[in-house]
Amino acid sequence: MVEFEVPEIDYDRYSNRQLATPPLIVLGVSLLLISVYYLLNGTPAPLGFDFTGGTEIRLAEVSSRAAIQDAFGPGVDAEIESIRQVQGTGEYIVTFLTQDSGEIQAIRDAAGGAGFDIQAETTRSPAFGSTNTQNALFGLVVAFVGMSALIFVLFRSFVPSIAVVVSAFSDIMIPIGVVNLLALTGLIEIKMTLGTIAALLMLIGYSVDSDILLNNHILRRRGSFYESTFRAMQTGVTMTVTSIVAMITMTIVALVFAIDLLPDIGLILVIGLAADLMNTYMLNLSLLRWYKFEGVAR
Amino acid sequence: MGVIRENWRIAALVVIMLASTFALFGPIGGGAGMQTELVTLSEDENTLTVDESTFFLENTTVELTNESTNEIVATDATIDIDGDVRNVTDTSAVVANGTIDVRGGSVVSPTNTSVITATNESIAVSGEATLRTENSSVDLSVERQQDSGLTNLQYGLDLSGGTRIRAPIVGLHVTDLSIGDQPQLASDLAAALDTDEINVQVRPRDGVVEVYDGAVNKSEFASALQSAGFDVQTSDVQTGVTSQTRDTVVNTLQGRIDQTGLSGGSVATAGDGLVVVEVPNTRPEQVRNIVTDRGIVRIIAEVREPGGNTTNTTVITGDDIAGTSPIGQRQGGAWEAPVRLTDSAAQDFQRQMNDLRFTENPGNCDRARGSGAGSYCLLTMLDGELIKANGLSLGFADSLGQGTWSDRPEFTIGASTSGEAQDIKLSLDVGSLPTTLDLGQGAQYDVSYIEPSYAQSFKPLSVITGLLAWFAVAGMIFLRYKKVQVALPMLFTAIAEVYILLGFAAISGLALDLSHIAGLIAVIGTGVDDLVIMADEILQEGDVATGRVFQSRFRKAFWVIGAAAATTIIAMSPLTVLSVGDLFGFAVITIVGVLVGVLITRPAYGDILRNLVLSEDQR
Repeated sequence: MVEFEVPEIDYDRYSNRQLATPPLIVLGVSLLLISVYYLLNGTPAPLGFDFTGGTEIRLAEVSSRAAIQDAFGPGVDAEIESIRQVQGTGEYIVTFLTQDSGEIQAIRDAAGGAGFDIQAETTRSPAFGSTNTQNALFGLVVAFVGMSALIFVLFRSFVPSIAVVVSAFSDIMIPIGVVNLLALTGLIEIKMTLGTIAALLMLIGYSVDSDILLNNHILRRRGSFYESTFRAMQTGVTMTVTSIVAMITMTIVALVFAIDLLPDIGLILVIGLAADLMNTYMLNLSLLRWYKFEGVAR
Repeated sequence: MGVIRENWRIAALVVIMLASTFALFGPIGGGAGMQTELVTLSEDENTLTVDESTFFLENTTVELTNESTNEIVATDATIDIDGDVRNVTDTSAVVANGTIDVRGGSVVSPTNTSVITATNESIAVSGEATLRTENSSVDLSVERQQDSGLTNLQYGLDLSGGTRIRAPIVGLHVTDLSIGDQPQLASDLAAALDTDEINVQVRPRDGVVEVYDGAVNKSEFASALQSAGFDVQTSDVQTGVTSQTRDTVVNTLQGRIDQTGLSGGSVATAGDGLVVVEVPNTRPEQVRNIVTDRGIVRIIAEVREPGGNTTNTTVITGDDIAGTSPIGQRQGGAWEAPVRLTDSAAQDFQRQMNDLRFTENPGNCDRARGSGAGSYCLLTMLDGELIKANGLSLGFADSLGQGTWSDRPEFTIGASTSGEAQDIKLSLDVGSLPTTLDLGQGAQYDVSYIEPSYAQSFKPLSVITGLLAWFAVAGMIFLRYKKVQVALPMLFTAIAEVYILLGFAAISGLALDLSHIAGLIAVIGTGVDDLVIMADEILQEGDVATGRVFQSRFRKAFWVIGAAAATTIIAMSPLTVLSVGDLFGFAVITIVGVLVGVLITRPAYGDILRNLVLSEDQR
């Protein structure tokens, strides 16, 4: 029978520097990717339709991509921004830059003429998209600052608190970095949607759980450092791995069923939670060990 | 009693789960509303059975015959026909100039009458009749008692389909002005801003001036006010309208949607001064028209004098109408919306018709005629567009001339098509919008439409997704603990949280969307995390020898859980205030879920564990 046991890691073999370096490198690379993307495109990540505005229609009964290009070619003024096939179905999501009601009617007519079935249709003005962007960024910052303040109040000492805050920050930046990497290399096109924003906010909550647990065991419990660490890991790794499994399941199932929103959330959470395993048990742990053995003594 | 006192947390969980059951399945909550479904009658598949329902035919041609196998069986039904009903071959189903008669039901066409006036040919549906589509397919929207399925849950746009428009209101306003007795102010401002007077509203008592014209910008408005003698800077001009105007817009839109027979539609205000209009089962182009048409009906008396001068006088406005009657068709194919004027408006109209010499020129209306001859036309204007030009009929001119018409001031507003007549009637019934929603370039709006059948397919699929995610969690938990008595209560507790949340959604009338489903799945995730923390803390090595040790471990575990819950709530709370698309629902569900978990389910799980690990006398 398969067993799920949290392995006991022999932390003695690694120095704090050795432990902290890999997560910091990954964070650095992510920040670099975000900067590069920003310099190239003017936005910190590829922004989806929720943030840019335009018109998106979801079509069923489409034979091929070419059929879409034919249908919306001559006679429709609106420029096609992107055509995306819904995995494993004859459904396509087509995005146009227009928001003009006359042009949208022309698109509808063309879709009807080509025999496509319009399953969904959304028009967002660019102004609405930019308000979304501002509010989403502002919301992320407020959430992060609020979380940080709460952590400082809970632990009342600088190093353990900053350890939690830094690893939560890294948990958020790494998924954005991965999305940017995929976009820059042109492998898969994942764009920021409302779903990904929700996922990033949820990461704040999820990732801090295991950090709080680790800090709590090491700082507030009796027992040696490594004993406490192992106990915290047993619980924390179970939590995070369980969440990852749940999110992988949700992502795959929602992709198969072609449900909107859920795959975006799932994907970002899977990457973020995996990053959280690394950040909590390498970066956060090394900071705590330094604080416990050297920082407090000073 | 002692058992219950000791396990009060479990008892509380059971009570709340029972309450949720009642909320979900019991006869409470807002679930008993009406719901509209779309049915398409096409060439091959045309049977529609209407039972305890209403059906609407809009702008379509229908035939009622007995020869087809396509039948409509109407029992206890309401039938509302808005469109062209033709006389057809099989007269057994047709009563020319008759009434519609539905056994056991009532007829609403257009309101509170048993006469179908959509045409001068009416139909009787008593006994069995059939409904056939002619050369094309017809969409029928059928209103039924809401078939909410098993539960009282309500579903939002993502899961039920329809159109949603979120948009700001066209307008600019200035407050805190001291406006004296300036009756000409509105028309002066309108002239200065080069807009119609109906686009300017002055409320002297509130010190407010509003302009409802998207073409007017802030500095133009400010300088117009400056010329009128007010000390106003461009920075004093605020975008949007006052809350009073916004309320009028919301109420009028709601009335329009209800009157149009688009049942289940709702209008509300959201943050940032946006208005949110949701209409199930309706295409976006139709809703666009509803929110962007002012619905201003005016009758203008146009006099072309033989010399060449043309004068226009507004003789009837929406305010002059005391009531409307069902629309009907005139001889020769034109349509009309019969109305009754208020007494004072009737007196005015009668006087004006005499003053403008309309009564001396009955039937003399020809706008195409050259400037040489005179022409006397009553123009029906809807939102500034000419709908129809009519002359006075001979009999009408007589009674106006004798001054007897105002004793029984009935007037028919002319239109070219039944749709226009219906629009006019609707605008008069509901009232006009002071201003419209802004779907213009640069406005902050979004319009979404989801096909109902497509949206509704998400309901079972998202339930399956959630269940599979829960099974995945269950698998992990069994692998980790290998003890059924630890894992089973854990999984039960996690699902109980979702159940209670659904109960909360049912009782609060929250319309579930995909973002809520995502929130529910997130709650399973955080819930199980916290239960793992509790189980590990309480079941750690070293026996839980006494109740006191248990209490201490329980409290320690709770510190972590409480801290984690507080961070999640803080992380989600910005979304409840900022408007970021549809994420409000996600944030609310997550926050309520965390609260339910911390206050109810997770403490109960602690009690369950205690019963498992402590023997009777150790407690």
